[in-house]
Amino acid sequence: MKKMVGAIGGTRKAWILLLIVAFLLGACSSGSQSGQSGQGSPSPSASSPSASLPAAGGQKVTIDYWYWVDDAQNDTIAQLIDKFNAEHPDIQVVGRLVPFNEFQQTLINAYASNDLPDASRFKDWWVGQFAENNLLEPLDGYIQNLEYKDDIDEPFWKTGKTADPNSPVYMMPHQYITFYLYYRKDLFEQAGLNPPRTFDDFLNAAIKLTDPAKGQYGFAYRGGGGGQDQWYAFMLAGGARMLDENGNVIINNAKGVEVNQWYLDLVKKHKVAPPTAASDSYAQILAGFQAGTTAMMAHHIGSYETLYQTHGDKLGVVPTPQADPNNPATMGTMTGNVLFATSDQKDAAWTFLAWLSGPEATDILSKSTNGQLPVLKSLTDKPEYRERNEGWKVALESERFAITGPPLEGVGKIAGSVWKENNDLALFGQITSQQMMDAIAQALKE
Amino acid sequence: MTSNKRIPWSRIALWTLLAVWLAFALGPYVWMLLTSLKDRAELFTMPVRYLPQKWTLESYKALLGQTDFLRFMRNSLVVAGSTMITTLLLAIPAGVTLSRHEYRGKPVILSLLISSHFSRPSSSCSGCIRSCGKWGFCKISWDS
Amino acid sequence: MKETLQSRGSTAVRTRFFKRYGKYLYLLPAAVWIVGVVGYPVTRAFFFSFFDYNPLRADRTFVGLENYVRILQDPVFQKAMINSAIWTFGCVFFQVVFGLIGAVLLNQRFRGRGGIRGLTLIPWATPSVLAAMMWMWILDGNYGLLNDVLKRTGIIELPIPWFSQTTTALPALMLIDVWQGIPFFAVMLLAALQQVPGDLLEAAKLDGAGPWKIFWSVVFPLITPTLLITTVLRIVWTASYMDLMMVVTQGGPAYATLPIPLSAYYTAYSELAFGEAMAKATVQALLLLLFVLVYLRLFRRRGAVDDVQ
Repeated sequence: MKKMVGAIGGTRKAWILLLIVAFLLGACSSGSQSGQSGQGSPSPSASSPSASLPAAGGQKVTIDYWYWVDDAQNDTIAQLIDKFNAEHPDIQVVGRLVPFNEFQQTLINAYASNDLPDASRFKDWWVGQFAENNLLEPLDGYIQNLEYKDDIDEPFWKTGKTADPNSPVYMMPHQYITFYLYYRKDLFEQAGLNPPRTFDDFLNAAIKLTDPAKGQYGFAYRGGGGGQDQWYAFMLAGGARMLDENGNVIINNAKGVEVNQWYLDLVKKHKVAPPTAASDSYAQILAGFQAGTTAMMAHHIGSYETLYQTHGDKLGVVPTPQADPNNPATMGTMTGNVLFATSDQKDAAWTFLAWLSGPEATDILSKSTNGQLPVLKSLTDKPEYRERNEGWKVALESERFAITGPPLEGVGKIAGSVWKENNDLALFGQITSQQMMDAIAQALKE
Repeated sequence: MTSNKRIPWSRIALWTLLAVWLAFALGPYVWMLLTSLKDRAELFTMPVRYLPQKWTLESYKALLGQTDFLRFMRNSLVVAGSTMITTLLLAIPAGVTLSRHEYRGKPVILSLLISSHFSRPSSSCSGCIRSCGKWGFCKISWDS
Repeated sequence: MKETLQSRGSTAVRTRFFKRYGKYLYLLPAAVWIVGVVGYPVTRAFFFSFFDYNPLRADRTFVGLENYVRILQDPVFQKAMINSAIWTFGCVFFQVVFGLIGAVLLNQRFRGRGGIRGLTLIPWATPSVLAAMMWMWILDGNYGLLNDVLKRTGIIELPIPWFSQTTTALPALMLIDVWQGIPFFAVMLLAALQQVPGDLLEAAKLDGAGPWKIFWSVVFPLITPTLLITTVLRIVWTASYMDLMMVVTQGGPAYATLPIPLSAYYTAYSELAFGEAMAKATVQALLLLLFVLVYLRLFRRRGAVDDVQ
């Protein structure tokens, strides 16, 4: 011991060193308590303890709320949290930003280490997984007292339930997304093409607008992370369904295989997508469409503002092209908020969620670049939404025939890895379309 | 009369190799710097432009103004600092004693120390460490 | 010294005890840490590998060796093992070769040597996620610098989608890792090179040996211990490294860049089969252990572990 102390330079210095360490350890844990992470590293960094002071007479209650953003340069949600905290002195919401790519894993990790937040932003795909394992707090009791509960249509409430007909609502619906298609009006005009309405229109246009020598391609195929969204939109538009009316998995029937093959052929046979299609994720397809490398891109209202800034009036929007225009369908998905069953501040957390999903906060969020379609009829009926721009018009119009993924546990797995892995194999010819659909059906059945 | 100062072949070769070495090591950073000074539209123009036509700091402004970057940096600093200090505190005594004294089964001890690297904490840490402070260390140790 | 003069009963016993076992106390903090932070999770992981364990459920069922059998028969895991082998040995090989060249280079005398040595370390010091982002941009299939340079020099006609092809994805990732790892080897080997006694080199020169011979007969054997230790460490780190694959390709396309640790990660968090994931992690640890034991045995004669100079 003496030698070590001597090496450091005396007892005094040793004490100073120890104090620094203690301070840093303390700073580490308290620094992470006011914690925003988001370093992009796959393991969760230190998060705050979910237990806090009880909300007894005037004492402050701390709520942990985790969320992701689509546009990292827009901090509307953080601002909303600040607004709530300012208006509610007895409840402090601590927000934590987690990248979407790791959101599901971060939650699972948090559960495994007993560290779940009180509330969190959530996707309908995960409801099945989490609810069936009793991680989500049923919200029916809270919803009954919600003043704007009639403002939300039944199909939206349904996205927060599981497949069980008697299921309570687990996820408070907040922002809805319908998939549609962007296209370059100017490129279409130049080539003498009409806006694509059917599958044939779409394929035709894509082929005409593809010229590898000039680095131009018809369609921004998303084969990377998250690509199952676009895939599902086209599958539905092509007439394939995951379940039939009786709840049986039918995605791997003849129709499913056929439409899937059509979608694969865009890359394999017709080569209307850039060569990077197999690994292109959202950032890449956005960049490609913005740069003019691709003429069409399937996405949703979340990207409209960003694309409008780049292309202005050259930006065209149409509903997802259909195989059968008389029976349209496209992908709809709900982003909502959940309360975790492990929370011990449920009432306070609900107060926050109710406020966040209310007309005022939703209005602010939906109008930002991180916003999507509000689920509140009172908002969407307003002309400022319906007539805002082409993107909003088409998005709201598509609500009529948008279908969300079935509330099965397997949907979470498909979104997580099953789709991408099998799609990769199919793209590289290592498995057939039938095999790919079988794998997806398998995941749904589990 | 001026002396004939001819640079020997070997010097030229040395400097060339050094230039290549530095270009390989630091080139990507230079490219990143140039990219960060371009405006959005110019990033994706084809063919690739090397120097920005319009030098701009808009990306930096967006980074500092619209994201929580400074807080992330502070987090990084704190975690890195505390990890370093903890590691030093644990390793220095161990190193001092291992090198100076005789031990029975020294190879075993050394092998055990090295074997701690075999398993990444990230793959086995889940579900075991519950306290808040420890998570910080858990995260950093698998970043090596 | 004072203590030995006191020979009164229990004090003498105590001091003798400290003399003999005191040195182990210095090891205690590190030992406790390793057991707690590394040993405990590893043991727990090993334990879980014999169960069927869904992290979202509270229950686990004992399944014995079923997990191991299943993963070893799984073609995806087999591919992961091959990927890991190519990745680990490929990356380390290039790092050794170029690190050695770099060390020799940096050992020469030239102006600004200190500064250049410092600059060399920057890639090593960069967080892997940032390095990944930088190289993703350079290797971008449409707007990347590398493709542009290759096109301009006429080597290729169409840009190469590095990360979207099964053939180029892993080599591209290896390029990034090699870029990061060369400085590490360069610096370690440089330290070893500088320890080579000048008079040995003088003597060899006087004997008429050329620079090539001097290097291989005199210098190389002296730096071998450092080289071997650095290599084995790097192999162990590289084998467990999955950050790059996770950020850049997510193991794709079509499992082309899936190494064992990433496979374990996806099994745990996407397929929610923790038991299987732990089995994969254990298999990796065992393979590494085996390799290191063989390696140490092979190179013991060359002074790898026990006698560090």
